[in-house]
Amino acid sequence: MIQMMLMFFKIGFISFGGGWAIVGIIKDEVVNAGFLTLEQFNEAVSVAQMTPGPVSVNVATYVGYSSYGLLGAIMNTVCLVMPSVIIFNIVLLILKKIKVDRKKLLSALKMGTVLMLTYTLIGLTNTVINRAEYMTFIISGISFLLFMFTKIDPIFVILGSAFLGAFVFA
Amino acid sequence: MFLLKVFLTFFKISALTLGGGYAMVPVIQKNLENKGWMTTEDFYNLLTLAQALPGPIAFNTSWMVGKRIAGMPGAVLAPVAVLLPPFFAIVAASSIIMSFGDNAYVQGFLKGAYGALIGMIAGLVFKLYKNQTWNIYRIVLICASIAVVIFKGDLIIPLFVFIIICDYVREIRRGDCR
Repeated sequence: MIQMMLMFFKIGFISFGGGWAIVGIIKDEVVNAGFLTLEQFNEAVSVAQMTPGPVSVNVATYVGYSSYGLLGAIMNTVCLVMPSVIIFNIVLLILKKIKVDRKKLLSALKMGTVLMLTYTLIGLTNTVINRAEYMTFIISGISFLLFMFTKIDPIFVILGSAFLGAFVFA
Repeated sequence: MFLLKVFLTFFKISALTLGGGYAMVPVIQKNLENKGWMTTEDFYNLLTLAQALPGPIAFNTSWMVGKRIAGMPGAVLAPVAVLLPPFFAIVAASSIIMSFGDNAYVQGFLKGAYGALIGMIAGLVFKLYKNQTWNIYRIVLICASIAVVIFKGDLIIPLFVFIIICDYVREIRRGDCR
């Protein structure tokens, strides 16, 4: 179990990009180490998709639970998310030591975010194009307008879209 | 009882948001804006840091937002609230959930949520572009990078770092000239 915890701790450190990027890394590590077969892993991903919350955390929780029960589930979750907290504090320490213009650094970081989010959007859109389910984009268009121009809680937009999807795609 | 409100808000968002971590980001943003807890501008500053760190984006965003609006207790409670609902769902119901996997309605349900996710991320990107101070240098930098990642997606992290360094160095130099 220690081995599995260390593995997820390591994944936490190298998993930039969030979401599906992390799931890909977890898949390689978990399957190679023999904790789950590829088939079992795909099951884990489909459970993670159907449960709410971050997909990558859900996969980690599921893998831990299926291998070592409740304790494994807790440990994996904690190990996956700890590195970001640790790195953040290290970066804060370094920033205090060296002289940087905080405002300009933040402004530069935002340019990085512009790229990251655009890339995420491209990735999401590509998945739909590959599946050739263009109805999805109508739902996206409606959601976009509701998100931009109304005060409706996006949770309802997501749930509404999901019910619409159950009608349209099933 | 502000802390309790923060906890419940994040708990609700996590429990009801289908579509993974990225779906939660626009939901969190909108909730903060509606409740008047944080401006869009502030949120983007935090999101930027959350992006730059490794780890799940929803987790990173939640503890940073929690810290900003409610201090250290918030930094602990908000991510716990995010992690609890999926944790219980998986531990309590993974076998039940599994058996629904092939159901066409469930698949359609997830596809619909995915559609909403695209629309809302697009909204987030749109607001983000609108919030920037643009100049020719930045436009060229971003356009070129986007063109590159469309064809070579695995260059995203190096490009992310590259853009930040380029922009920072340029801003510093421009400051010196004045």
